[in-house]
Amino acid sequence: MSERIFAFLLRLYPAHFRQQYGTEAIQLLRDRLRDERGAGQRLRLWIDLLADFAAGLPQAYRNSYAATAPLPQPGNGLPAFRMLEEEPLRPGSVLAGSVVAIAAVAAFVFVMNHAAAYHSFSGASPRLGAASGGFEANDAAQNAAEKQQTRSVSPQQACAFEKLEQHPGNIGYIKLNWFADPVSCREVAVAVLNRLSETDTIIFDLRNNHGGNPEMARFIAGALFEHPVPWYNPGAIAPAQLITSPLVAGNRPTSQPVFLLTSPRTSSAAEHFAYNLKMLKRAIIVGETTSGASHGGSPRRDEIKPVWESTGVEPDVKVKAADALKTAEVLAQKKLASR
Amino acid sequence: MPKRKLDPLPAAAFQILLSLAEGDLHGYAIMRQVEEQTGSKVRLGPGTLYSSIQALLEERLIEEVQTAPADPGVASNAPKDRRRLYRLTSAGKTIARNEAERLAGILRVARARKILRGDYV
Repeated sequence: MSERIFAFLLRLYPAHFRQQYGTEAIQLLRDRLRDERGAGQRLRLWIDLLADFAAGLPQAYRNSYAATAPLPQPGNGLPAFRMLEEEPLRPGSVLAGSVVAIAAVAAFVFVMNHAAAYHSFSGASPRLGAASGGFEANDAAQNAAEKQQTRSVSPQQACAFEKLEQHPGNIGYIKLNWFADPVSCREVAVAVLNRLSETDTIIFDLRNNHGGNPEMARFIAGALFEHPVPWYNPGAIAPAQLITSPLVAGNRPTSQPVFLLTSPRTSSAAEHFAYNLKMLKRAIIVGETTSGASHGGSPRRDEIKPVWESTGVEPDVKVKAADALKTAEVLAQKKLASR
Repeated sequence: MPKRKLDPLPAAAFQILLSLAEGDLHGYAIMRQVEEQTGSKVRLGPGTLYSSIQALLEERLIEEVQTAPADPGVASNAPKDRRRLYRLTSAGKTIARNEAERLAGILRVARARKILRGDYV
């Protein structure tokens, strides 16, 4: 028994050490087992052996066994590979390797899950908030988001659809912080609008929207109407920009009541969006008067000033910006009940 | 002589060199000899023993005896073909002497400083 345990421990030594001294070491143990009998002596023998492993093992690895090992000589200029370990892999090594590999994969998965959780907590999931609020974005939205992800580092920042959630009463809540470039974000916008067509009410949260590309505002508004409608557009450079965009493919949320949440921070393209939908009576504006700053920077001198410049867009329902969402949700429920 | 691992000489290697001073021994006999000469204080385990032997062989301080003659000493009833006998080389003798002299020098100092009491040699 002792001999078998010792033989197992010997496997920790370098292969060449075992080759050279393995049998001698076992012989030495046999001699000692023969000479040292009795529980006390055996105990001391094992204490010796274990202490010896602690001290002898590093020493055995320090010795340059390669120098004494007979190595195949490269002949005729042929390249020869020298192997430090000449033995095939032992089952123990394979087992240890697999355990390490599984641990590495588990750690990787954990880190990835952790990263995903962080994204959904910060409300900037590239899956358009699929993780939050139980609002499963459909495949198209996910695909579009993933396509965006391959194109840019953070599509949620590029396209600014910060949240897409389903609130009680089948309300589609969308927090839009910026009107992104319709060229690069069209697919994401279409996916979002297609998904919104499955809801009963839509709430656009523009309270933190500082503007962006007015063409995106016109594009999104186009999806809210059955047919193209006149679009107030002080920056238009082509007649086509004076009607809403009819280019949204798939199901469009044309019949759902729309609420826009505004605050004094809502500005520029967001005001453009709010003003038009208010005038077209397509949306009910809830919150506070918008900033009235059509541009963040200095406007061109020859540019036509929009009508909301310096005055802002007045809400239909005046409440504090912080209460706007709750108010809009109550109004939405009432509207649904009356239908 | 290039000295790498055995400079300074480890205690175990020094004891092995000393144990081989009186004659050629195999591994187990070295262990017993060391145990005896240290008053049972040092018992070399197989790992330490054979690692030290390997290092000493690499530095050519000891050598394997090619044909193992009949062992007159310990464990003569064990099969002889598995045992290798080790012999102290002249280089090994020199190293052992140098080490002993170094220790003797330390001993002299210790005695002069009155750290040692009694009749140490």
